[in-house]
Amino acid sequence: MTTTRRTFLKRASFAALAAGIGGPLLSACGGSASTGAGATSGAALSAPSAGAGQLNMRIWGAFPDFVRSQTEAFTKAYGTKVDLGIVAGDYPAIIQNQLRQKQQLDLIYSLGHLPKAWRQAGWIHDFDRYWAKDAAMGEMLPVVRDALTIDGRLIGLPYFAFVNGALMANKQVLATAGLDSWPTTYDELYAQVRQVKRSGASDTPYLPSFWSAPWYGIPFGFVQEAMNRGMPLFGKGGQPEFDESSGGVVDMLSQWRDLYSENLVPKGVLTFQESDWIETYAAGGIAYSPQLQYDLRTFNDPAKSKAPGQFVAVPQQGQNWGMLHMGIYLIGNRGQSDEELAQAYSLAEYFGYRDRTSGEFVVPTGWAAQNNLTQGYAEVNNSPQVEAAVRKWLPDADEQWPILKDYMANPQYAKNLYHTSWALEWMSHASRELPQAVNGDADVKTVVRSLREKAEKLIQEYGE
Amino acid sequence: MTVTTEVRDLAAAPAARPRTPFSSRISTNRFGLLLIAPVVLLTVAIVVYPVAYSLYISVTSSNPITGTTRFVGIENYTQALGSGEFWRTLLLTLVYVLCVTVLGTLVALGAALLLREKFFGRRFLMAVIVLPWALSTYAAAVVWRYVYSPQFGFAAAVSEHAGGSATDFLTSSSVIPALAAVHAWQFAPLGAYFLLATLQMVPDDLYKLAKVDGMGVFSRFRNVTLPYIRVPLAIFLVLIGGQAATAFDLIYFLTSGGPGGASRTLPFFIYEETFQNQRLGSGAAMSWILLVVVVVVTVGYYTFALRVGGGKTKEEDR
Repeated sequence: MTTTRRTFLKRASFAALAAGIGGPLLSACGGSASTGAGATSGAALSAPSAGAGQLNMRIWGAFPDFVRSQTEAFTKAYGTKVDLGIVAGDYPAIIQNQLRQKQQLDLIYSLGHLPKAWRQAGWIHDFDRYWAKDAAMGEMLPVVRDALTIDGRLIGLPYFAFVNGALMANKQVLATAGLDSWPTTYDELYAQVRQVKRSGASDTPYLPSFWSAPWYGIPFGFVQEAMNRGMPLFGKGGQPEFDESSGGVVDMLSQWRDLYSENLVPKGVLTFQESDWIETYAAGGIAYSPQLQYDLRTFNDPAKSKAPGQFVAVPQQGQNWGMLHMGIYLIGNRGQSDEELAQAYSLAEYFGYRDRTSGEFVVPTGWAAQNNLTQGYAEVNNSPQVEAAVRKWLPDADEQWPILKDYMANPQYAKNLYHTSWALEWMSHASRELPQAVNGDADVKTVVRSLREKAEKLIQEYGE
Repeated sequence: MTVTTEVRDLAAAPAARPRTPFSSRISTNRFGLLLIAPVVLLTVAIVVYPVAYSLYISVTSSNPITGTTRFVGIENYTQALGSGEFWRTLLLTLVYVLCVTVLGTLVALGAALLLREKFFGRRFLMAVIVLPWALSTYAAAVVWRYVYSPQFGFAAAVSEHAGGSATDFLTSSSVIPALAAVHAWQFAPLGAYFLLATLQMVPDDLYKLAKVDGMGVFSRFRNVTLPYIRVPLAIFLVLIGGQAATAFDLIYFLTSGGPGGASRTLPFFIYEETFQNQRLGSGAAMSWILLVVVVVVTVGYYTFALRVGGGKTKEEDR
C-alpha cells in the first residue's frame, strides 16, 4: 500500500485531532447545569420516625473503615441504607462539579472555605429546618458556631474542629541544641530555628506549611501565620486589608524567603504533598513545624514515627499558634422532598451531633477518642473518655493536655475570607503565587500585589 | 394418505424459492452503512456530542453562583489570547512537549536498536522494557515521587552514598525536564516496540553491504536504518507529542503544577479554570486553542518530515 503526501497529511491531521481532542472532551465534562441561589425554606422538619430509601454519602479518603462502621451502625439503628463513596483526588473540584450537575449527594464532607459559594449557588441545603438546630448550635464551641453560620443560617454540622498550624516541637532536637524555652512569637521561633541549625542539632530545623496544593497547604499557612501575627488579611466582605506598601505581609514573606534561601527548611518542601509533610516531620531531625493538631498522635505513634514520645505542642503564650480548621458535614441540594431531607438531616445528626436514640455524641466521641480528631463540641473534646484515650499516647500528658485544650479554647478563624464565595479560587491563586515569593522566582512585593489584585478582581466578579 | 396430503400441500403452495438473505436485498453501500451504524451512533454520543457541546460552552459565559449563562461569542478566545498567563502556560507546554518528545524518542530508538541485536537476555529485556508503559500514570507518579524525593528518594540516597548532597529535582528550574523524564520513561516502551517491528524488517545484507562500503555506525544509521523507520518514527513522534501536549495526570500527581506554577502547563491551567474555578467557557475556549495548536504543529511537523525525506515513503523508495 503506497502512502502519498496527501493521504499522509490527512492521516497526520486525524492523528493530531485524536491526540488533541482530549482537551475539549475534558472541558465538556464540566457540565453546565445551574441552579442559582437558594435557601432551604419552610417550617422545621420532624425527625423521621422510620428509615426509608438510601442516602448517598461522599467523603475524602480519611479513615474510611471508621466511617463505614458508623454508616452500618446508622443503618442498623435507623433503617436507612447509606451508600458510602470515597472521592479520590481533587475533592473540592470533584464534589463541586457533582453538586453543580445535581448528582445524588446527600451527605458530603467539606472544609470551611467551600460552603459559602455552594450555598449561594443553591447546591446545598442549609440546616434551618433541622429539628435540633438550636440545641446543636447551643452546644457548639462559639468559634465553630460562628464558622458554621453563613448569612445567618447554620449551613452544616461539624465533622472535626482542630487547629491547623499548631506549633509542634521535637524535644530531642531542642535538647541537643540546648534550647529550654518556648518561642512566644514567630520572630522568636525563627531565631530559635537558626540557633538549632548553628548548633548542628538539625540541618533543616523548620518544616513550614509551604507545601502546595490548590485547596490546602501554603495558602492556609499564609492566612494562618498572618492572623497569628495580628494581621487580619481580609476585612468584612473579603475586602483585602494588605498591600505591597504596608510592611506586615511583605515582611512576613521576606522572612519566609530567608528561611528557604538559608536552607533552614527541607529541600523540596514546595512540592510536598500532605503525606510528605507529615512523614518528613515524623522522621525526626526537625525541631519545629506548624502541623495539624490531630497529627500529634501520628508523630508519637511508634508505627509511624521515628521519634515517638518526642513530639509535643508548643504552648501559646500571648500569641496563637495556628487557626481553626473545620471539616463540615453538608447536605447536597438535589431537590429532595421534605421526607428525604429529614432522612439526610438524620444522617448528618448521627455523624455531626448526638445519636437521637441514646442522646450521646457517638460518632464525634469516636473520632476524638480513636483518631484524635477533635470536635466542634467542648463536651466531646473535654470528656473523660477522650481525655483518657489521648493520655495513653500523649507524651508529658499532665503538661500537654492543658496545652491542647488551650489550643481549642479560642482559636482564630479566617471567617472574612472563608465566608466569601470566591475563597477557593483565591486560595488556588495563592498556592501558585506564594511559592514564587518563597523561592525567589518573583519579588515579594509583586506577589503581595498579585494576591490583593486577585481578591479585588474576584470581589468585582462575584461580589463580597 | 400421507403421501397424498403432502402432494396436495406442495401443489397448493407457491413455487418454493430459496430465501434471499437481508444483506443481499439491499445495496452494498446500505449494508455497509448498517454495519457501521452502531459505532457511528456511539461515536456521536461519546465524542461528537461532547466535543460540539464543548464548542458551544466555549462561546458562553456562565456564573455558577447566579446560575446564569449568556452567549459571549469569541470573547473567551480573545480573553485567553490576550492573557499573559495563557501564553506562559502555552510556552511551558511547548517546552514540555519538546522535552518529552526528544527524551522519549531517544530512549525508544535506543531501546529498539539494542533489542534488534541478538544477545543473552534479549527476550527477558523485551518483556521487562514494557513495564513502565503497563503502569498506570498514578503508580508511575508514586514511584517517581520516591525517586525524586530529597528526603526519602532513591536519587538522594545514591547521591549521598557517593558523598554528594541530596538534590531537589522538582525546583522551578528543573521541574519540567524532571517531569518530562518520567513521561518519556513511561511512553518510550511503546515507541521501542513500534520501531523494533520495523527494524526487524531491515535485511541484514544491507548492513553488511554498508560495512563493505566503509560506512561507520552513524552513516549506516542514516543511510540504512533511518529510511526504514522514518514513517513509524514520525507516527511515534506525533503520538508522544500529542500525548505530552495534553498531559495532565502525571503533573497533577507529581507536582500539582508547582512549585509556584512552574509546571503549570496549558492542560493543567484548563483543568483549574474548568473544574476548580468553574469557568467553563474560558476552559473550553482554551481547550479549543490547544487543539488547534496541536493540529497545526503536527501537520507542520509531518510536512517537514516528508520534505526532509524527499516526500517519498519507504514503499515508494522501493
